[in-house]
Amino acid sequence: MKPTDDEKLLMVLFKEADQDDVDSVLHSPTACAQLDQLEADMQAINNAQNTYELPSDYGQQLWHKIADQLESPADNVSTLGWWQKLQNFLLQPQYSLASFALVSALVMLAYFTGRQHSADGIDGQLQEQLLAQNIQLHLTQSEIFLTQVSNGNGSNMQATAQRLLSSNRIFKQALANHDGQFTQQILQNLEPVLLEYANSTPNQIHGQQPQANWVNNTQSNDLLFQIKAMKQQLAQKSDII
Amino acid sequence: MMNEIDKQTVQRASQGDKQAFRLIVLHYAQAVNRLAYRYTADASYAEDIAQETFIKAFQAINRYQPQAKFSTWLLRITTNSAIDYLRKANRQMATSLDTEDLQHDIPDHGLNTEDHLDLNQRLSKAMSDLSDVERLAITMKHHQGYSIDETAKVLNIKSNACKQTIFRAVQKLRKQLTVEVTV
Repeated sequence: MKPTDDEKLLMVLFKEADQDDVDSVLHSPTACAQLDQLEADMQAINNAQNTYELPSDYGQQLWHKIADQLESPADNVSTLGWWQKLQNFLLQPQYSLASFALVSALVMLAYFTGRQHSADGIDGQLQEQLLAQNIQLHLTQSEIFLTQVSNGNGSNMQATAQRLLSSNRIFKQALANHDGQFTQQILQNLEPVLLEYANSTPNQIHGQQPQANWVNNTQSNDLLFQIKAMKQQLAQKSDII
Repeated sequence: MMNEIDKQTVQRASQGDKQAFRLIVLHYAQAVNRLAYRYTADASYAEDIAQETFIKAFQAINRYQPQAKFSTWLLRITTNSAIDYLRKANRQMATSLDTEDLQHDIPDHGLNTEDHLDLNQRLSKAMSDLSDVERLAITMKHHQGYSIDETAKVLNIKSNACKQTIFRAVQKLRKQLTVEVTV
């Protein structure tokens, strides 16, 4: 018999064959005989392994080997961490809705609290950095202005002085909300000088020194030094002191 | 037909009662070991698989559905444990599961030196000479009554490959029976 026929017989025996195959086998006396033989062989194969002997107290022996290794689900629960226990509690059906609401509320609370805090923190820091940079720019312009005045060059100096004076006053106001007393002091010292040049006539600026006699004044030299020092401080740390 | 243990014992065991589970071990130990031996043809493997089966069963017993026979549930764990065990023990099995090239022949034990062996011994020897996949497939189908599709699924092979594997195993085993007749 061909292997395919043997395979068909085996499938018939295993009740895995198509109905047509079953019918064709059952209608053939030869095939039926072969099927009987196959069944007997399979039974013999099955019986062959039943000869495997185990001791009569095998169950007891096995129990002694595994008894210490047994961990029931109940034991597992007692050794669970607090997080797992909380999870198990929250997943119980009777608590699940309340748990969901509680967790949602906590998430929302954390979100809004975090958002407010971070927004405040970021805004405050950013504002201070921007102010520091602007003051640094203002002091640079003032320094250039004062140097030009002292050298007797530059054009449209009165307008520049007026613009710088306006900026100086704005920055003084802005610093009123900060602790930067040194910066405030420099702006305070700078204001009368700017004021004098802003109110002077063009001839005074280009021809003669203003009454404040800024270039030869020791106090004014100190002011220029203070401006330079503060510029450096603001450039390095962006920190208003 | 296997004699089932009473449901109360199973219920007590599922509540973590180790003494009840001890009764289950005493009741089913032989059946589990014998099935493991069928799958592996190795007594020491069968012992390891039997231990693993009962440890797993105790851990999972609260998931047992009382509608099903307890023995069916337990022997299914045995089957899975045996497959896992053989995969770990013989990495070749994992790669050979879905290949068609499993044609190695069993030596003909009946002709010369082993004529004295009786039929059962020769069949047992032939069984141990089958490949792991062949032995698993024929045991699952013929002894445990799994369908071809179910066997293929558990062994992670295609149905046709599974049929071929079983057929090949039967041919090899029947060859030993034929030898007996001709001697």
